[in-house]
Amino acid sequence: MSDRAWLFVYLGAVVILGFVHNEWIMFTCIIITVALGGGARFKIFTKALFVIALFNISISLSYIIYSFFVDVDIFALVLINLRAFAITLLTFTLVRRINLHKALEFNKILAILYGFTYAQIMLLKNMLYNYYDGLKSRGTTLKTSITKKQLQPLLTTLFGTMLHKSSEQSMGLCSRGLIDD
Amino acid sequence: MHIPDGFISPQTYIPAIAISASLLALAYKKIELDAEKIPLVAGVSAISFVMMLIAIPFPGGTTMHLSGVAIISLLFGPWIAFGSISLVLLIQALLFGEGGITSYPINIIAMAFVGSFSSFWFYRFFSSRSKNIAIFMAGWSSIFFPAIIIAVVLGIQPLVASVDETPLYFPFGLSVTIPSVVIPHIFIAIIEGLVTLSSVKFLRTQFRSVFGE
Repeated sequence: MSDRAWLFVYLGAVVILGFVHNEWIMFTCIIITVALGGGARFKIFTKALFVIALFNISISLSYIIYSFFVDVDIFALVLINLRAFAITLLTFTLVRRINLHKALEFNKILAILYGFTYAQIMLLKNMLYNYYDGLKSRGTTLKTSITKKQLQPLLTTLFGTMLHKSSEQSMGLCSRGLIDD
Repeated sequence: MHIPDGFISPQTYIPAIAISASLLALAYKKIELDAEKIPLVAGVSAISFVMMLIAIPFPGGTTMHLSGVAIISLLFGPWIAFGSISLVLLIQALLFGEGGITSYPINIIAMAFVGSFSSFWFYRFFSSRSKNIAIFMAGWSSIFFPAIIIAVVLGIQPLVASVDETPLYFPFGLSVTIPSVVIPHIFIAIIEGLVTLSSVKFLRTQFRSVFGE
């Protein structure tokens, strides 16, 4: 099956899961998704668990405390948490198993936008972390937060690089005739 | 502020898909994507993504991250900001699990659309009085109004999707979500306003030829 077909199967599955209110179906979906994860299934599983943990634990604990004062069905939490985990697991499995750029090729502009954005994110993210490392090595940063004096040169570098890269990519697009102007 | 997967009912996110898709179609029509604009939108999206990784000191020893919505809206215009931040939210949802795929339309309506346009209109409204106040208010509104929308959307879930008063999605009503989401964001919005003021003024000076009014 092509990457695009997998993307649409995934979107269909996500919508169906939204309408399912049975814990066992949700649990079965999680098992199937884990099986589809291949060699990276454990990594995907823990990543999904980690991502939903903070929000879901805080909501679940609040609801458990709430149940001491108001008569509520505490088992509703099982379904809510299973659904959140099933959809998140499905998303990470999809991203791991398919090439998103290829899957988005049904729309040329969307595919180019995604490719350029992802490339720029990686470039700027590395610059940011290098900047943090530079500050850390000089002992001028407070944990991982940044002050106004440090923020301004950082923003100059980030915006300058972004503007330069954008004009470079624009010339590249024109010269290769990828976009008809 | 991102809503994760599993907390929003289809009764909410299906209409939101229709609204957000219409807004995105309108945005990309307004932006007029061509060989010059595509890399710019991609670049602005990357900037927005990276700005969300920058941690700002918060009173009490904790940190918050920039949203950058107002900065981008004031420097590049609300439509580019909306299109770019929508793209960022998609990448965050798919690759990093920040915000869900089912809540994506809600997240882009609140954070990208309302955030971009509230900051732009607040700036326009206050700029006749004072540029500094206008930039600050733009930053403040880009956090405050999306927070209200997120709180309302979460809070109506028990009303729209419950069986025998048992919630199927987000379990708390408006009486809980409004204070718990909006009150902390009032203070976060003040910090965002100050950071927006500092950043926009600085970038307009540094890149006068690009962002000069």
